[in-house]
Amino acid sequence: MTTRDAKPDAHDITCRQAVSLMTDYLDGALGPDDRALMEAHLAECEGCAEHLRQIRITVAVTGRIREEDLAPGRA
Amino acid sequence: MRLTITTDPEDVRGYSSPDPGEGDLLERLRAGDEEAFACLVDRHHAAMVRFARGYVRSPAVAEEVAQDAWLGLLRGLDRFEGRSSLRTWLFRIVANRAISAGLHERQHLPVDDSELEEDGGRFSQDGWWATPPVHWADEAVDRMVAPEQAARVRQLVEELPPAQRQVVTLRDVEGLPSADVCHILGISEGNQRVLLHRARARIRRHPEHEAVW
Repeated sequence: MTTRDAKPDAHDITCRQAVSLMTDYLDGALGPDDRALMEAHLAECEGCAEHLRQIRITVAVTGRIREEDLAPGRA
Repeated sequence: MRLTITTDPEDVRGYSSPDPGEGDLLERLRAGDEEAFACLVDRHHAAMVRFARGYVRSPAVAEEVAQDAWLGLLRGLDRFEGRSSLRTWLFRIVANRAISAGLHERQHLPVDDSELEEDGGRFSQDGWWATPPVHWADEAVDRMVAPEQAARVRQLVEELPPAQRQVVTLRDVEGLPSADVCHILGISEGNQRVLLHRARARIRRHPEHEAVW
């Protein structure tokens, strides 16, 4: 973790930590310090940025279950 | 007493426009207006059955639970003060009924949340990616319109452990905010997010392995 005056960088949290914080991040539930750490990490870590994109797509596709149920012709 | 609940698309069209507000419908329902009841059923019934399936395996039992919840709404109508949305209140009634129905059903899916450390083997001991995610996000966006995809995800949601399924159904299928979901399920925000995190990880992980998205 960082000291107060240091700017967060990608190595302040590990990929495992970043992935474990992603749901909180998407929910806006991280405090400002953790959010800054997360964003610094995402900006430089392509693996984690890709993981986040995949979670966003997963959420969007899951949401389509409801649209499908509402579509005409489906009992 | 047996409610007649129809999901015939013809009926849905009959009530769909213009779209009356919830408060208006509730007022009409309190005055005994059956059309207002039918309109609410059209709006919420399918979602209630879907949510009940997170507690009980049998579609028929889930249907009964939802019907029972409508009776609960009618009985409790005078007590509803509008502090939460009607949908949140309905889901809460469903949750309560579904829990007791599930106890009778005695067909629990195995709950193995504790064993689930999704993506656990993919990090090095230091916590950096050992096997970074295979890239598919960009291609997947193009394929999101494919109807098979929603069907696959539906299947994955149905296979989740019950607690994860309940949370992901309310959050990502129904699109309810976190606070409402905690209220409906009677769980803390933190617990809710852990379950959501695991559910999404399971759904996400699948296509990467199958390489079909």
